[in-house]
Amino acid sequence: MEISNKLNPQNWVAKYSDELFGFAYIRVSDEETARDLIQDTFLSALRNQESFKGEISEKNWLYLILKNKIIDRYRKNAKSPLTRIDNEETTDEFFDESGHWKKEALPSTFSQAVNNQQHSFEFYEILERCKKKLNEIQLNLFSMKFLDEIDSDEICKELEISSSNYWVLIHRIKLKIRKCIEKLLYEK
Amino acid sequence: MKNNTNTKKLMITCKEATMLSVQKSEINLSFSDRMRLFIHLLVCQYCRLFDKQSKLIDKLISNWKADKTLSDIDKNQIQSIIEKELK
Repeated sequence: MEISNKLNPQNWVAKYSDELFGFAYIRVSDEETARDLIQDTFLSALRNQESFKGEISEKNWLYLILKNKIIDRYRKNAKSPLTRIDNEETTDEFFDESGHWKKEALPSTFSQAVNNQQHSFEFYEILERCKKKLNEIQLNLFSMKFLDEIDSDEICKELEISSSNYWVLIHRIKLKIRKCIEKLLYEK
Repeated sequence: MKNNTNTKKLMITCKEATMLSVQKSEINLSFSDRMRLFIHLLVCQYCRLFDKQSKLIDKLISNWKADKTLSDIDKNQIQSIIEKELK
């Protein structure tokens, strides 16, 4: 039971589970899934202890395993027929035929100051709600691009989409999220 | 990188401008696309606002840390799975 290479699996839950859970949760938007990912991460880690060489900290090593699990999940989701990319949107909710803003979609100033100086809890609560309005493929893309900051070539490869598809999707996600934040800030 | 913009025209639509605005955070736009976006943003207050808010959103998202924690029940369950595996 004693491990030669400084891993302390007994303490993993106490030391890292909350942090890892938070990391997973903002990427998958579902507590159950995030919980399962953490359990899987710990189990994989336990079964692959020999791959831990002590070059990075135990914590970073666990993060690495979790990140891989999350990427696997993105990949799997992208392949599922239920979440095939719906690129052909029949009606554009933001722009008219000539490419101008539709009246109801015109951006307006955020009704409350949002700044990045202080971690505004309200903003993240709003962001959380807005993220839930995205469909599965949009959610994957959102996480990969904005949270994991993976570059577009990599994302296109992982999800097997073309570069122009990618930008159309990212464009729409951005428009949607911005609009939703504006709306929820106003309602606060 | 292929953009939706026509290579010849200087004036672009709001749809094209917001696309360029989103793209420029990640890729280097061509000189002509940068000019097109610049000119559009000069004359269009809505896209200017979009551009500004979009940057702010990017920044805030990258600083996002969830304050969610795992329930004690889940923790105990995972702990016992680990213990079992260790035996």
